[in-house]
Amino acid sequence: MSTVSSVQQVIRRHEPLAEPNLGRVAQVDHSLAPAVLVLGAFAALWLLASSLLGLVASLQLHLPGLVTAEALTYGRARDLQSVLLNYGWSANAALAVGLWVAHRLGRVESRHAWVAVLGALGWNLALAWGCLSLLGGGTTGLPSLELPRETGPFMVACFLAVGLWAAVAFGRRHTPHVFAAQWHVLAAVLSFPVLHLLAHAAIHAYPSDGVLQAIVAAWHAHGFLGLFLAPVALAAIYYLIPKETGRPIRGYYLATVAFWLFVTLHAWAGAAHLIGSPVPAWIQSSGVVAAIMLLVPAIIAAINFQGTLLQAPRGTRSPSLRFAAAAAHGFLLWILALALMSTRSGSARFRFTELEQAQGILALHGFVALALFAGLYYLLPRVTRREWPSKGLVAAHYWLCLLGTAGAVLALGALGWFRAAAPSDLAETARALNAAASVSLAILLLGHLAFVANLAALLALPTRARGAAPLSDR
Amino acid sequence: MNDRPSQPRQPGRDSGRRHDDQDRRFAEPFSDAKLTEVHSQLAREKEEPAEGFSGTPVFLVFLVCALGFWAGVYLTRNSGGFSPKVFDLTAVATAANAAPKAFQPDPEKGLQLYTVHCATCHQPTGLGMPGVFPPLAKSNWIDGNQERTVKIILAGLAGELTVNGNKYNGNMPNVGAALKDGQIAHIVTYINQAWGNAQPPLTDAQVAEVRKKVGARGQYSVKEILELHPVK
Amino acid sequence: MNKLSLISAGLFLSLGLSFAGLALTSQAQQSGLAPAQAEEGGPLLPALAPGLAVLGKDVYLAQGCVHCHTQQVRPASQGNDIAKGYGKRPSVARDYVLQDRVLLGASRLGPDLADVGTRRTSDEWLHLHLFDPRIGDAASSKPAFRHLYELRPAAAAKSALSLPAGHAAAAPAGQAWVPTERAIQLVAYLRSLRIDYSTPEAKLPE
Repeated sequence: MSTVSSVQQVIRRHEPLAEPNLGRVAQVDHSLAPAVLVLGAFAALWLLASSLLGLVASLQLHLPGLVTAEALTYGRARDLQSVLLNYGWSANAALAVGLWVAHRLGRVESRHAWVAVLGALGWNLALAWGCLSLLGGGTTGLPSLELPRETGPFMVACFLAVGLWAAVAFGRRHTPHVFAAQWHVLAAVLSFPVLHLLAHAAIHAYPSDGVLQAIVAAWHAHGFLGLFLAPVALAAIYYLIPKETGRPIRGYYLATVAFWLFVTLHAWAGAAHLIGSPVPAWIQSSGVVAAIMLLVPAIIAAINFQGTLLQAPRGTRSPSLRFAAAAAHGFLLWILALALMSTRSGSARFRFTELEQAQGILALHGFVALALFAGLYYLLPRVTRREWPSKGLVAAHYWLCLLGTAGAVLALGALGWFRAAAPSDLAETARALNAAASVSLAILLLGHLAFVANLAALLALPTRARGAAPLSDR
Repeated sequence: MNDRPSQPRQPGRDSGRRHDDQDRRFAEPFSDAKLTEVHSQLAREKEEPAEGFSGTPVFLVFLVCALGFWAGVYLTRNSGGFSPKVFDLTAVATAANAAPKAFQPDPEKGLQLYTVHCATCHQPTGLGMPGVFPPLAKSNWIDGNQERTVKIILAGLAGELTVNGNKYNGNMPNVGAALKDGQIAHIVTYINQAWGNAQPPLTDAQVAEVRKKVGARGQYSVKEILELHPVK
Repeated sequence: MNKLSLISAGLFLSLGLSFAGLALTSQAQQSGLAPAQAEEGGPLLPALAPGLAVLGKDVYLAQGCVHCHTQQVRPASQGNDIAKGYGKRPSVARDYVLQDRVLLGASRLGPDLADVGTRRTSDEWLHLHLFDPRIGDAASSKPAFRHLYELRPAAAAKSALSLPAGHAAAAPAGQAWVPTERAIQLVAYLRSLRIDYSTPEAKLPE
């Protein structure tokens, strides 16, 4: 087997690559089916649960007394909602998209798919167990590290069982060239285990004293978003924009610079969430500097993404491209908001207000989720060799997502703004804007329902004949 | 079997037809291989200086330099010397600018310090012990000459002395050498006002002055101190 | 950018540097931090919280209070916390050295609680506020933590809540609302949150 496969590899290496190698691409896609489908199904499930809980929590802010069950009071619902959004939906979907991008671009077939499937099952099992514990009030109280300590090393092991295959695919790739999407995926799958293990060690295994816990938690929370989720989302955008517009990335030579700046600065920018907190001033200042310097990779991303989109031929339409383009805008807005909130004066006014929640929604729903949807819309038909059953549901999903996210960000952002401007009596305004946010979150939930319905129908379909062109292709 | 709503299903597809479909599917503007190849060429091309500079990199280089410079300046100015005890940058500035807080002699603190440092000999009552430790309560040595008191606390006192008409064989160590000026001021203020004594309070500046005069000498002898500051 | 080893090394270096810089350096800098006397002869502060309050912290955590309440007073240059009366002085790292879980919090849908123990000195008020926050402030969006209270026969009930007349959740005749263990612990915890002392880094204003 080994001789045969190595001979095959040698042959494959010398295949003319500019020619589309149909059989191989299709095989690569199909080899990922088990892992991607398990991850995708769990992602969809948790996404619905998280959106529902987000709505339940938001409703309580303007309809207090609506929920009387202890397990669903605002605080607990928020705990669950954020854990399910981060570790449920985003992580699963990011792993699915990341695995696919790494294998597809490296032209590597997934081997030992059962390892990844087992890893995915373990991850989600641990998550479900952790959520039960959260329902009973067993949170650690630290943002992004809410899950019980026992889950930490186990979830990292499960993550490695899935994510390391992306690194393996990178190492064993059969292509002479490497594309930006590949480094980004690599960064994501290597960062999370380090982040999570170090943070768990510093908080649970060798408990750090006092405010150090807050520093580590901020480092982890920001790293989870900036070094795990964001790189996968950027990888999806980097891949899909040229793919779907047929135009090469404009200013691609800047992508390397942007990548390294992005990775280095996000590792420090977590400290910006501690401005004004009782942590030494130099830590706060390093966060300020890192968060504001992030504008540079954001500008490069704008040149690369928006610049390429501007050159796209008119009438280029595909669900993936729509989502990817929206995600690219969301990314830019998120970094701008982050920079604004990370100046000392911005933090003094807006920190702790609803503006901070708006920023979180912008990052997770307006950027990461949209990019992951773009990836899933593109890869699922190819992996399953089926077609999205309903084009209408895709469009509905897109518009509801956009409307819901924009509504929630604007409503909460406005409320935070008012709170900073006039800290006096805001009860009426707050009720109205919180209600607007709830409506927006309901719209978002509807959008996600459309996605999940479409996905369920896709999975229920029989496999189509090979080679049927996906909807997303012109 | 569900049909794609967008494209009516074409009946009678054979395998050859399917293959065409697949061809079409991957004959996109960018196959993956072409995508990576084009971009790696893009990455290479611009690295050559012969390409000349377009506006973008100049602007970006300028921006990165400016931001880097700003970051350096910001970090030096706003890091509180990388001290773990600086939390509030404006507080550092105001504390440095504000006039030093005036010292307030506090008999309460004096009592606490007296209990620790003096009361073992002079007793909490200030009455001392006959023949060994002279009293401080209504003592004729506590007579408004604060310099003498401070000198004795700072350097100590040895020799036979007479207090309130009783003889004591004094050998007081330099208790005050290890105390801060302010602490001695608190103690003396307490002694000056306790047990029926009625003398003015003392400030840390006054103690500092005396400490300068005393320098690093050993115990005073009774004769020495009485020559400097005679007791009424 | 096509070597696995190069990219991984760069990534691990960047992550490791930031962890060393933010976490390990602070650990080294602050490892000696302990309760201290603000001035000569003063008591060592902060002091350990009473046992009931330590139990109450678990209740605080389990109810998800962290999502709406912070526990940090920012200096006047970094927000209007002191002007709002959240505390008399900014909180500093030393205030947290005895806490085994530091709950700085990130969102203020409700007031800051770092110094709530000096503002709210009545158990009765805190219990009523937890039972129904809209007794005091009709516009409050705080959840009612009614599940922390139980009905008992009025005759046997000590420390029964005295709800305002005509309250919607008034206890039926012969019965009374009394705080459960958890409510008592939570209130003890809230009462224990106080910044009413000076530290060498941050003095209370005169």
